[in-house]
Amino acid sequence: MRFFNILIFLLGIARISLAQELRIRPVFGPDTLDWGKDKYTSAKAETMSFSSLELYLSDFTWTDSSGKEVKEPGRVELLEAGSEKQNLSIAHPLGSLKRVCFRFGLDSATQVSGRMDGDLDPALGMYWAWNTGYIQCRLEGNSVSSKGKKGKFEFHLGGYSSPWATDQKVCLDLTNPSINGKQDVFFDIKAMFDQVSLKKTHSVLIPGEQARQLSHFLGSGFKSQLQ
Amino acid sequence: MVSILLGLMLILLGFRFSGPRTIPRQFFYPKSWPKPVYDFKKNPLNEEGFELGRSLFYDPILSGDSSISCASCHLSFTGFTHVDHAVSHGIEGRIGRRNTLALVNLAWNTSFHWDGGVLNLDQQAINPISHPDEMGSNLNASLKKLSKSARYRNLFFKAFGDSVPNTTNLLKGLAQFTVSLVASNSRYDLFMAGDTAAHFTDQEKNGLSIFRKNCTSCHPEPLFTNYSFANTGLNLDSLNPDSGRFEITRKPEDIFKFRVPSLRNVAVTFPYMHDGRFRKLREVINHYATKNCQITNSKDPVQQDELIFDDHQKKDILAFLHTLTDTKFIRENKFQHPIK
Repeated sequence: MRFFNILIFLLGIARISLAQELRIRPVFGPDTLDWGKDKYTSAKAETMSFSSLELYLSDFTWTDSSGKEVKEPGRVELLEAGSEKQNLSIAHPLGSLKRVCFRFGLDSATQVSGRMDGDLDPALGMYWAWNTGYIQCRLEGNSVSSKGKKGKFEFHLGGYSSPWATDQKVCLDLTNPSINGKQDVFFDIKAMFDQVSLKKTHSVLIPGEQARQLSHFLGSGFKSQLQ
Repeated sequence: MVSILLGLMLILLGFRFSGPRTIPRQFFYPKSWPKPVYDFKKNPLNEEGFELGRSLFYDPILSGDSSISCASCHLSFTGFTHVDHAVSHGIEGRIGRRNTLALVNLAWNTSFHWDGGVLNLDQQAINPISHPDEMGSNLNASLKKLSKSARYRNLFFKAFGDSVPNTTNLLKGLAQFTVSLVASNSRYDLFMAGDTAAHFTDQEKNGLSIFRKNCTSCHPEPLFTNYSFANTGLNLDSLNPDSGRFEITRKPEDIFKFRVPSLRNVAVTFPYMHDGRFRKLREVINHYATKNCQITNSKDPVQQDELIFDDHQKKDILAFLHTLTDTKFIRENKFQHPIK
């Protein structure tokens, strides 16, 4: 009996050590994001700080260095980052990854399916009650350039109806090694702020042309290497 | 000894995985009606789920200050809408901007709200619960209050096998009640079914005939809506600007379009239109018979030529519309406040 207990214990340890994660690290150009600190400057020469970031990723396809591929259609992950929360890791079933593909956002079928479990729970605050669907990415912060109240800027980007669907397929060839089961990719939000002036746009809260355009700027910020 | 232990384990596992025993609830509707749109497979009806939803529907616990329930705006005796004021009222006397819609035959709805912004009955209730001008709460706060109630923990367990209220079960419970609000026993229904007791007067028969010639492109039988959105040429209200369906689709052709509501129970679900501007049904008929409609680009082409009714015809249509009131539905005990 004792032998079995020890075996189960060892298997447990082995399982923990085998847990593999992809970490999405939010960055601003070459800098790691430091929440609440006012030190980031865009190509538009606007200075800003960030208070929170939340985003949905879904429909994952993982490929390891041997070429083995695992697809997880329908899997949904809500990632969150800010001064009070950090949840940016996604567990995956393979070892060292060579490539990962996912959807930035949710497809229209998931949006209207009525699924409300796990990360799709509307109580998590990423659901638009007045207009069926989820916010794909919520990014908030402050800037002296913003004309919002107390310099606040708010981007709640989403929408799945044609022609303003905001979801995008993203594929990354990973070059960073897996360290202790963790492999990093980067989400460079500077990609959006280099294109958008906070003087002109400090708030997008509904689906539409602006939301679609801004989400594509953000979607171009997923990278496997820091610049 | 070993076999007894194994037996006990199996029994316990059985209890663990089978969940509570529920009594299936049938969803009845006339055979001649189209099939419902609602996906009952995702939320199979049972008596326990229905009773949970019924209790939630009549309980102000869901609102921010526990003062307003769903039934505050959706009263059974007025066809599950509110007839006291033009637009909905919320907590602390806050005023909404649109007229409360009557809840009827929701299993056939392809979308919800005046602008069709919500596509699934299971998700509809999130809006009134969290809207600051309606129940002024949020899902987390409402769930927290429910989880503190032993009565609700019991109701949730009975319906879904989980005593901890969560978003999915809260909304599915509510939907089990609201999807059950089927009105199919009006005098019109009995008359159409050939029931000799359901006599139509000549005036009502004539009203039905005029209705069929002029109104059924938008309000077809038997559900009396085509589930589309229309700009009916209402004068724009500069004090309460509302672009309707456009707010959801952002398509220019949808500006000033609103839901085509079902006409079932229409005689008791005043006031009318998205902003409740008409108190009387005859005002609505007059609107469609007038040449003073405001013409905007998205106005329904069917109505570009105004319907011309004389006074007799208007009265006949009115008489017919009164036959769509389902008093059995309105007085149905199972749809009333549950007696605690």
